[in-house]
Amino acid sequence: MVDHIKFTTEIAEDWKSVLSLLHHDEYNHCIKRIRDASSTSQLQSKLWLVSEIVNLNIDVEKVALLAGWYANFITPLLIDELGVKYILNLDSDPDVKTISYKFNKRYKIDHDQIENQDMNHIIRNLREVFDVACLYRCEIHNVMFEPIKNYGDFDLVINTSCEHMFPMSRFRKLNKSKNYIYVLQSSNDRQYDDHINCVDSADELADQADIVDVIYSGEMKLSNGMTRYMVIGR
Amino acid sequence: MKWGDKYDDSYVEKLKEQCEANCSVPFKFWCFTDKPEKDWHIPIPTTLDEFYDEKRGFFWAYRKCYMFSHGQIPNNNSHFPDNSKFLFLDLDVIIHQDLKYFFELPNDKPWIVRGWWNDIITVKRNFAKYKSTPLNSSVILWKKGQMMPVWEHVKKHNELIFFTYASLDNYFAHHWYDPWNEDDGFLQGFPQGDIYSWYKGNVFPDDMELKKLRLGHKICLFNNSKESNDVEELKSLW
Repeated sequence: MVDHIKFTTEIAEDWKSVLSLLHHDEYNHCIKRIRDASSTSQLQSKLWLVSEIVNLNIDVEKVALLAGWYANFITPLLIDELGVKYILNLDSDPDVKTISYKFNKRYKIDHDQIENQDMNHIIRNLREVFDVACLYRCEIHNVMFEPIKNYGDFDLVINTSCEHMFPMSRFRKLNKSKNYIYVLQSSNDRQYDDHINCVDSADELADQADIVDVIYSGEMKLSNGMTRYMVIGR
Repeated sequence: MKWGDKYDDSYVEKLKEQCEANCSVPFKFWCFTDKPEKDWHIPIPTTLDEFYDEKRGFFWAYRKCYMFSHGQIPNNNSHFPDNSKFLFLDLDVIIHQDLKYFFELPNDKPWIVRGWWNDIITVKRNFAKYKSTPLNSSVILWKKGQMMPVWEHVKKHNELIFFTYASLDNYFAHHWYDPWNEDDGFLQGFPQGDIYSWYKGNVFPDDMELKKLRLGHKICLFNNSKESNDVEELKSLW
């Protein structure tokens, strides 16, 4: 079981730079959200997610994070525990790009650095080309409105924000030519206005996403009292 | 635009009266209504009704979207010549000054109420939560056909939009406006000093007194109030 993040000197440096950003008036409004994104329950749900992928022995190189927010916990976990080489975070909130790039600066890559290049070649030669273990890219993109085909291929699609959006069947229709493995999380916590699509079971979450080949399904009571559901499958 | 029972016909008549008393350029007054009786009434279409979930109440003002399509195709409506400009007004507004001003604004982009009483920090903080929209669709100005992309988008993504957005204004803020670069959106906000809110103020943070008439402005809005007596309060100011 994965029960911690490796808090390296590089992570310390990047996370410190997030705090520096908050001294700018422009980002004052993000303080509470960064605190929320750094909560115990956030970490619990990401540790659970990565643990189950490790247990299932899924081979992953390229991951698409849907509505991945600041990707502060999941990025180091995916890299350190699963050896992921490329993470693309797609989120509709314009502030996410700046802040998530701060959290993951050590892996940051901009579109123009990889434009028109073969991602598979880059990934095979990551150390030689970029001298990093992984590349992290973030784009402002509403995944329910537009497909993600222009961003390349992925082994795994992770969405830990399913309660914030329309059912994932929509995403599947938009990207129907792709046979991704999906890792989905949602919750039954209806107290927030932006939780517009809560579920009451993992089965319901799988149904919403038209997952027919379920390879993991479970639930976890988090420290904040809510129940979180997770489904992994195709 | 009138549907349901919150406002009776007197509100439509009053708005028409206000326009006639406060517009020095020629105009035609039309009302989209679910009970068409007069020659200036346009029946509200029902094609989007199936996507509306009354229990959830999301995207409840969707009927306004019909305006962006009705008679908007070039050479296709004898009532709306191709150079027409459209000024939409909610029923619960008070007009203070000559509406001619709006018809003389540059029309490179459609206009909508930018609620200057909103703190832009709150707007950004709550953007991803589908809350605290900076826009208010009580007054919209466009030239013929200019809002068709909005109609097409709503039509194309109907189920998704009705599920996701609690309000039309929130939808506008997410897809047709950019709170981070306010000059870059498809929609542009009416300038400060044009339109204020009776229940929310004028400009954050310096001029936020509520329930204050500002006769130097063009229009006062009464909506978005949580108060139950807003209808009576509006009537008292007619």
